[in-house]
Order: sequence, then structure tokens, then C-alpha cells
Amino acid sequence: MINGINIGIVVVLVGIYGLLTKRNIIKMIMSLCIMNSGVILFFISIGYVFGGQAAIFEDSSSLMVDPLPQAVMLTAIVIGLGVTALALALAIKIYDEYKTLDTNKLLEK
Amino acid sequence: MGHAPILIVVIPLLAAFLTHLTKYVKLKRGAEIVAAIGMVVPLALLLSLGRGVIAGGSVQYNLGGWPPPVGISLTIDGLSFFFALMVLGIGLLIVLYSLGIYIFARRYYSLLLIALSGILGLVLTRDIFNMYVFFEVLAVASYVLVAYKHKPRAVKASFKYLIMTEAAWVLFLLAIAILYGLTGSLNMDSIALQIDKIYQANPQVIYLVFSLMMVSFGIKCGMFPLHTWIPEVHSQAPTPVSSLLSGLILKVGLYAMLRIFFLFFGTTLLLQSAGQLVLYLGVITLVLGACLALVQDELKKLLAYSSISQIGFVLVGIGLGTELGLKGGLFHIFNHALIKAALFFCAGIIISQIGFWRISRMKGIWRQMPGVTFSFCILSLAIIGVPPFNGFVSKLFILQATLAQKNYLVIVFLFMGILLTAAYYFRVIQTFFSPEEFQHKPDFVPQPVGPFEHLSTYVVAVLCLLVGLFPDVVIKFIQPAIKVLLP
Repeated sequence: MINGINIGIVVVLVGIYGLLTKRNIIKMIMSLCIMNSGVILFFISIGYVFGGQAAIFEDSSSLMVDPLPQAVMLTAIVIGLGVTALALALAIKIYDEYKTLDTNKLLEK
Repeated sequence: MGHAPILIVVIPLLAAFLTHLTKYVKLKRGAEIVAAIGMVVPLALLLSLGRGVIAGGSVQYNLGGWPPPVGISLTIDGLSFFFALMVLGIGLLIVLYSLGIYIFARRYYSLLLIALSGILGLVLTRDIFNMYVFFEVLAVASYVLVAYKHKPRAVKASFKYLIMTEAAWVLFLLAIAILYGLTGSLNMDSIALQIDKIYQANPQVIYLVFSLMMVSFGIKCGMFPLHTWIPEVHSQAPTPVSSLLSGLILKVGLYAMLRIFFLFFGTTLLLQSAGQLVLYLGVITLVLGACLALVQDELKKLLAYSSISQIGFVLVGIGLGTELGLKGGLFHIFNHALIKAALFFCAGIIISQIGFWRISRMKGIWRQMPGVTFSFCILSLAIIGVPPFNGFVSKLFILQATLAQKNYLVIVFLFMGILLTAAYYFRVIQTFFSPEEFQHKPDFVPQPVGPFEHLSTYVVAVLCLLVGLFPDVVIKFIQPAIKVLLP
């Protein structure tokens, strides 16, 4: 049962585990990225047809994958990039002010 | 004006980028003027479509001319119209408040317009992935707005907000992926057509989609165990941004809940256990929020917990799912957006004048600033639900709807919530009107507060009284929204 859909779900769960347990800001951002990647893998695998090609019409006989998930996930990847960049910018700002990235220590300050 | 729906979304976005260009124009307050125009023009376009929508119709616009199952469509129906009107109204109020404060420059107005454009887009769209994109547009703009003043605590709060909200949207994206895998469509209407058949064949997958969406919208609207980001973010953000967060961004979660739950699960899940789940989580939210507000000593934190508590009232109205319950819920969404925005304005004026955040240091400040304390009193009476103000009408509807269902346990908790609301606001008012002389903070230079800030609170105080006296005016806008939810 190793296919994109199952692995996507597992990757999302790994991300959720990291988000819930890690107390370092950089690791939290990484967990967020992992969650995002898992969903992207899951979504693309849904539209994948085994042995299919990209949906470019040259001859209509060949097998094609669903192009919509790919187009949609391209948007999601770009959004994920923007959010990660912003999160890292905030992390730099927090480190400059408090000299720590540990959320337990940040809570005390 | 065939292109009105897309122009409503795009004009604020265009204005957001134009505000930066005002640097090159020799115009005093150019950014403010562009921001105001960027909200007034969509408001005019929206109102030009209003007559048909109020009569129960809807306006559909296909982007690029592609019909719905393939392309993205924007639809203005009763529910979207009500929310879009609220967004633009509160947006203008926030601009009015920000006019007098000079640190709010071009960048601030640009981000505010991007956030408003995101809310308008997600309110109008009927494509579920497009809704996710607009959610992210709104979210990214609001993270930067929270950390706008670069205060260390605000940056920390903004990071907490980012982590929780992004986790919510990833779960929402997962729900979208599952729905796309099941139905092969991203259009809400065509998903809704197929969802009953899927529920008959395989109810577990619908439960999964419902719970993923419940968690993501619950984080956004501050439902009980997911409310933890609200107090810190609301109290650390700059004042007009607190108003934006409490007045509009919390309501976005409620809008998504109303739109998606009633469209997708209205005939299956909501009639059974899911409606009860929303109802009881709402009850816990309202009692817990009120209890926590009671023990707060920071004015803005108290208002934030009060927001959580009032969202609980709305959730009770939504969870009941009856016509009267939804009427109360939608009316309370409107009232809370209006009142809480203005309460944050009052708190902002008071804090910038005296330099104290704590309520216990605000003894006897009514002698210093009688106008603001008076409008704070009016607004808190309105949100407690004292007649003849608007909060009374909406809370009455919710109570009547609960009574009609003969759910006496919930009625007890609703009354408890109202009494607790009265308790924590009266504590603040009592401190304000304390006979003791106000103790000034040594060496504190009060920031100048102009007429615009005061004006914005007075306008809302008068509106509260007017809406309370003539609730039919607002109910006329709510009726078509209920017709959309309960066809």
C-alpha cells in the first residue's frame, strides 16, 4: 500500500506530531512545511492516473493525469512559500528581541 | 455593470498597491484618501446590486466566462451580501479611527485593504479552493498587521497566531483534497449535489471531512478548546487592528461555518449530532470566555475574552439551526462586529491617554475623558443586552429560539453567560466612575488624540441605539441570508 495518497497522509501526521511536541520555533515552522508538503502530495496523488502523461493535447489516444490538482497545488506551494518566509522573518525578529527560540522560555518573558 | 462582483474584490486590492504610489503625489493624506475610495466604490457597487438580492435573488459572475463546474464563479446571494456589507462598513469605521494616528502610514492602509479584499473575496466566491486562497491572503496580511509596531510582545503574539492559523488552513486544504477526490469538483454547488449520495454509501468519510473543517473554522472563530490565540493577539495588536481582528476576522470563521456546513451537511449531519456538537461547544465557549474575562485585569484582554464569549452566543444560534436561531446568530454577528470594534477604539483612546493597561489603575478616569467613558458605558450596555440597545434584540432571538426547542439546560447557561457579561463590564464601569482621584503615571506624555477617534466611537454608540430601536432595518438584510441557508 505504498502510494502517494497513503504517504501523503503519513507525512501530514508527522507534521502534526512535530507541531504538537516541538518547542523550538524553527522546528515548529519546519513541521508546518512538512504538513503542507504532505497535503500537496496527497492532493496530487488523487489526480494521478497510473502510466498517465501530462495533459497536453497532441494525440487524444494517450492516457492523461488530471491537470486540475497540479494547477491548484502550484498555488498552494506558492502560498506555503510566502507563509514560511513570513514565519522565518518573525522568528528572526523574536530571536533579536529575546535571544532564544525556545517557546517555553519565551512564555516566561 | 455586469462586472460588479469581481470589481468588488479587485478594487480594494488595486487600491492597496496604489496607496504606496501616493508617496510620489504632492497630496496631503493621499494614502487615507485612496483607502477610503477603495472601500466606498465597492460599497456603492454592492448597494447597486442590493435591490435584487434583498428580494431573494442572486447575482452570479463567471470568471473568464467559464461556466461554474469548470471555472470559478462569484455569487452574491443574501448571505454574502450581508457579510460583504458588514465588512465594508466596519472597514470604513477602522479607516475613520486610523485617520488621526500618524504612525499608521501607507504600509498600514495597504495591508488593511489587502485584508479586506481577502475577506470580500472569500465571502463572494463559490469555489472552495479559491476560498482557501482568499483565507491565506487575509491571514498573511493580518499577521503583518498584528506585528505592525514591531513591539516584541506583538511579534510573539503574531507568531502564535501564524502557527495556529496555518495549521487550521492545512487541515482545511486536506478536507478540500478529500472532497475533490470524492466528487471530482471544486465548485461548492456541484459538491453539495453529490454529498448526500456519498453520505449514504460511506458516512465515515463525511465525518472526517466535517471534523477537519470543524477544527479549522473553530480555530479561526475562537471556539472552545481552540481559542488560545485570541487573548494574546487581540491585546498586543495595535488598536484598529484589534478591531479588525475581533470585528471581522473572527466572523470569517463563522461565515465559512454557516456557508459550508449548511450547504454540504444541511440535510444530513447538521440535523443529527453535528448541530448538537456546535451548540454545546458554543455553550462551553460562552461560559468559559465570560468566566475568564471576569478575572482579567488588562482592559484589552478583557475585551478579547468577551469576544470569545460573544462568539459562543453566535455558535448557539448556529447550532440550533432553526430560522429564529439563525436570525439571532446573524444579528449577533452584526452587533458584535459593530460594538466590539468600537469598544477596542475606546480602550485604545484610554490607554494612549493614560499609559496604563490595567483596569485597576483606571480609577476615576471619567473626570479626565468624560466622552470616551460615556460611550464605553453605552457600548458595554449594548453588548450586555440591556434594552433599548441592539444586543438585547439579538440575544432575545437566541433565547426565544432555545426556548422553542425546549432545551432548558442551554437556557440556564445562556442566562449565566449574560449575567457574567454584565458582571465583568460593570466592574470596568465601576472602576471608571470610582470616586477616587485618578493617579497619573509619572513622566508619561499622553499621545495626542484627535477628533476622528472620538467621532468613530460616538458614531457607533448612536448606531447601537438606532439599531436597538429599529431592528427591522437590519432584519430586512438578514431574512434573505436565512433563505439561502434554509431553502
